[in-house]
Amino acid sequence: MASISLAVLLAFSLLFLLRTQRGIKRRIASQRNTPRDQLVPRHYKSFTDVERTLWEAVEQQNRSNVWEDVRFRRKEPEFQIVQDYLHRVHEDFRRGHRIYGQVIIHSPELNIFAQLEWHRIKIEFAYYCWCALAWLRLRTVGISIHELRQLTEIVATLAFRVRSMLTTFENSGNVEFVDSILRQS
Amino acid sequence: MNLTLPESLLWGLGIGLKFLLCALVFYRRLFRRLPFFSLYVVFLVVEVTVVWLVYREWGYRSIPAWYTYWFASVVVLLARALVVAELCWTSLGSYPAIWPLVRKILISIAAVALGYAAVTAFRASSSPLTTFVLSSERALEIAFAFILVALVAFGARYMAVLGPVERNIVIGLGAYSCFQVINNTFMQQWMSRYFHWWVSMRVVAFDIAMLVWIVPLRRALPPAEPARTLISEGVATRLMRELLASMREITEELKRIARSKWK
Repeated sequence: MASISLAVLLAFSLLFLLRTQRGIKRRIASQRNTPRDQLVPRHYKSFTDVERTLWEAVEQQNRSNVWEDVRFRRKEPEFQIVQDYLHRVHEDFRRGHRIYGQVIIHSPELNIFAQLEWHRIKIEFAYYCWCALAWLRLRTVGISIHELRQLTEIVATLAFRVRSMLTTFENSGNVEFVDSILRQS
Repeated sequence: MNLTLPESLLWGLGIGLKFLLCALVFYRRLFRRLPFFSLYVVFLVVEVTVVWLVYREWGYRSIPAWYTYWFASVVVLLARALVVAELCWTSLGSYPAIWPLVRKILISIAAVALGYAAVTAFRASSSPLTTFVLSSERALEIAFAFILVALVAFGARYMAVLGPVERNIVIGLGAYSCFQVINNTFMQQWMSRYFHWWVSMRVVAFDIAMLVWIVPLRRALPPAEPARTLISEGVATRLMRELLASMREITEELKRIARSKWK
């Protein structure tokens, strides 16, 4: 019976992953003419603007004295701002994640590849932990600015690493390589 | 011939599909891109022709038919293993850090599966050939399914996307392997008296897999994707080491800041 369950699980995984690959192909085709600055993570930079907007909204309502204690729940008007920002940050994370993967897959040695991948896994783990927490908080007590900041910091770290990678390759004269990485991710 | 009418029809359909697939593979010149898959398709045609001739000459339940069927099964199974390896090579062969590791893993899996099959056949009280084929098939089918899922998962994580023909080959092989694992389990545990059903079911599953392979070959093959821009090995090693060192430095710095915050 275990082998039957395993076979069914493998069959569904195969179909799901092939569907994901088809999505990747479509995305790569659609971003052929996208400007280069839009191919790298960029939304996380608007965190200060989002924070200011939220702060002004909260201050108008005079809800709390301590900014870090304020929680944004579903019913409140500024919830949409939080949700939009989370979507954009998630997009940034996925974009950075893909570029990072594209760079490290070109590693000439397994040892280097494994170490770079380990750095990515650590970031990935931290991001998904905070994402799960944010998802839970959004549906229960509301998300705080501290949690939004944590998520932003993780994405900013990944974006910084990706930028360092691309800059290092560009500075060494491999502009075409960088361009191909960005278009393929 | 001792085949029933539905069995004959099923065989006829399978034979037709195998010939059609083989013709399309050569018409579309797929052998230039996937030589092992093309060889596998040729083996399928040869297998079905030889087995059919033997059945016709000596009958479905004769001893020559029995030996021919199982020997042909071994050859086709090994050819399928080569197709799986070829798909891995097509997808990962251009990545110098990954391919040597993948190659070692594939060889180990093949050695373990065949070793397991040989030991089982040696210990078996029934026919060693049948036991060897069934055991190696059982071990290899599950290994094929695992390898194909891992290959596609790897492609999804590192954007090493398969082309349309390779994609359909993966779907066909993967679905057939998963089906065979289920079919073999049923056969082993509950259906040993219904051997004909078991054979018919695998024929149906394989016909479906062939239809999946035929679909992208109806039209001309899409041009091979342009080769990715690569950098020289020496430069890549130097730059990646630099990146790794800077990442380590930053991580240490962040740890130091975090520690100083808690003090």
